[in-house]
Amino acid sequence: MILGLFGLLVGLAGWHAGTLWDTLAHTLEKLFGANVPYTLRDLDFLVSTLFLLGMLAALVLYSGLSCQRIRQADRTAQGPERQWSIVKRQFLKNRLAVAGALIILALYLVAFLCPFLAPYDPVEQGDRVQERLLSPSAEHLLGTDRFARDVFSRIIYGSRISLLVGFLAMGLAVTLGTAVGAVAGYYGGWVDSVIMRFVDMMLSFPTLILIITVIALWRNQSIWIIITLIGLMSWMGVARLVRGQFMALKEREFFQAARALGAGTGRLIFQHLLPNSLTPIIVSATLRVGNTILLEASLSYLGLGVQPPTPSWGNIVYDTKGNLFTEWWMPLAAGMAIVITVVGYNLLGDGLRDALDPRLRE
Amino acid sequence: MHTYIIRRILISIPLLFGLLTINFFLIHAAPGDPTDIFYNPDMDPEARENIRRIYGLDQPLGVQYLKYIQGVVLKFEFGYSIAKKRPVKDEILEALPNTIQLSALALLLELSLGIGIGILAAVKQQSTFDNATRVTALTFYSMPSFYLGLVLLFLFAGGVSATHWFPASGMVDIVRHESMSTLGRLGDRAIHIFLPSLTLGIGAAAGISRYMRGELLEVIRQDYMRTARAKGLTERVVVFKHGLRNALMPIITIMGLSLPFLFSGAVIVEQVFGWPGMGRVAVDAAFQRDYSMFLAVNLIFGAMVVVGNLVADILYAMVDPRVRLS
Repeated sequence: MILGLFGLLVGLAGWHAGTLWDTLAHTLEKLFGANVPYTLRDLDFLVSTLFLLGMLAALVLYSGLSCQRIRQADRTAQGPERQWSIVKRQFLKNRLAVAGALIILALYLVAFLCPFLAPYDPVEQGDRVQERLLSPSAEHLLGTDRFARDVFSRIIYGSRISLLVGFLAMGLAVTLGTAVGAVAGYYGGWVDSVIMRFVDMMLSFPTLILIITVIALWRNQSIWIIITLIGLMSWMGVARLVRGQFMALKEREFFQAARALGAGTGRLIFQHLLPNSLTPIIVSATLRVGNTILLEASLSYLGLGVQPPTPSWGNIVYDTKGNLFTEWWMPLAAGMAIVITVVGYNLLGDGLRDALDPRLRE
Repeated sequence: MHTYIIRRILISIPLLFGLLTINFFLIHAAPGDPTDIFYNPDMDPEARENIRRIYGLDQPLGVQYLKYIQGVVLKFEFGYSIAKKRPVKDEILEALPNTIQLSALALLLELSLGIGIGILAAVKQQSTFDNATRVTALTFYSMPSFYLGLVLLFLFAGGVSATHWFPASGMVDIVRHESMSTLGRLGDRAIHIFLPSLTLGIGAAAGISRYMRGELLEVIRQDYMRTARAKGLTERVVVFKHGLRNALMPIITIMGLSLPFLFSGAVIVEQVFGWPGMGRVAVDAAFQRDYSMFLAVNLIFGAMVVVGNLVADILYAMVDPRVRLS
């Protein structure tokens, strides 16, 4: 179970890292000189096709496995799987939570299959005299912007940035927060005091203003800088959470027993404390993704986020907000995409929390 | 109580000092400097050095830092804004009241809407109202503030001509404000502040209503609530006197902590509605790399966080007799 989850996370992180073909193309160009063996779009297409095939293979594999499991189910009536099956049943009973999960799943599909779904190139400019600021039509579902680019295609490709920022910044924040909180909670005493005072200080930094400062002053709006900054500014909540969990778990009998049996620090943390703190960490991580996406969108709206021509939902709104009273569908559709994504993550997080917390079950 | 407040304020001084110091060196570590706006390629390098000398940028960093701190501590001076060509203090004193006005009204909206809806939803748990407000609150909670602002602008400030009731930007009507009567001016201000404060308030209210509902539901399950009902008290007394009082306590903490969020939310909302407040000052300072302005803005936003925390703790002690501040 845990291994599968870990594999999934690593896979997602890997895909996310590869999402920015611009970065990848730069690397390729450096490696092969001017004659890159294939173009950006070929690469995009290749990865998406691989993903489609992978999904099909996974489906076949999963159905095979579940057949096997049903056959085995008679033999092992009650096992450690029961806890998870309760959680699963609780989660599936919650219609809003399932809706959230489906939204996120659909978004990931859209992000993977951009080249198949987007009718036009998101970056390429059309005829700026004839095809500029067109109204929505069958050819251009959401019209074209002032550079004659298809807005619908841009919004589809924009999903990549939001999912990327949400996932990686959250990952950074949760990893950092867990590490810091674990050290503070496990050792306690003066280590805890020093670390928690530092956390308090970090919490009193005005996040948005500080990020604006760094990005504006260094004139560096690379997506990686933005992700790192957002991650570095939002780990404190997780640290507090993990510390609290560790402090409480340290008092429990199973921990005392493990320690009495001579378990080392590493074993105590990774075998006993961390797995038992995983539930609140997962919930807060899911809920944090939404905030991260909002923060990136706000930065993009101020013109300090991901730079055009790379489309992100935030910078599409920034780019087209001047057309609000005339071509209103452009900024409003891009913003709606942000809202749907964040709603999806929040529904998923709420649902996970309700399903994982036995006190909230009805 | 008084000693506690004084001690907390004393503790926060080194915190703000640290913030100022980190920001100072962070800003000076960045490439470029504020005299860039005077720069043109034909310029004599010596002239440029002269400008740098006038603003004291040629001195060693340590000396600049000590001078800056000295100014802040002894004279409450925050330096001179090179981009705006006036003292930073003047610029901030002009912008800060506008942001406070906006945030205060938003806070009022946040509390009245958020707590009210939260109570109703919790009392009628699982009702249609509860489900509807939960989904609505979640949607607003998940909405970037600039998007809500743009939607409101579109609906009520020009996009839909039938409901063009509010102006799209500014604090007052620039052309007609001076010639209005006192009452007219007040009305003019009111219609200008309505949409921005609504934008800021609704987003925050959605968060508060979620917490309020959760807290009240938690309290309703307690034994003393059952006792109160068993005593034969009316449902209103049970909910408001026994339930609400206990459920409000965590909300007070959250409210104190939401103050800085309201303030930084104002940064975005001010951009949408062209509101001349701290948000605009902050973003301008960022783009013009106006060092001293930037330090002052960061200090003020940092101070807001500290004040918010302090207010939360003090209010908490005031409403909960079990908490002793020492």
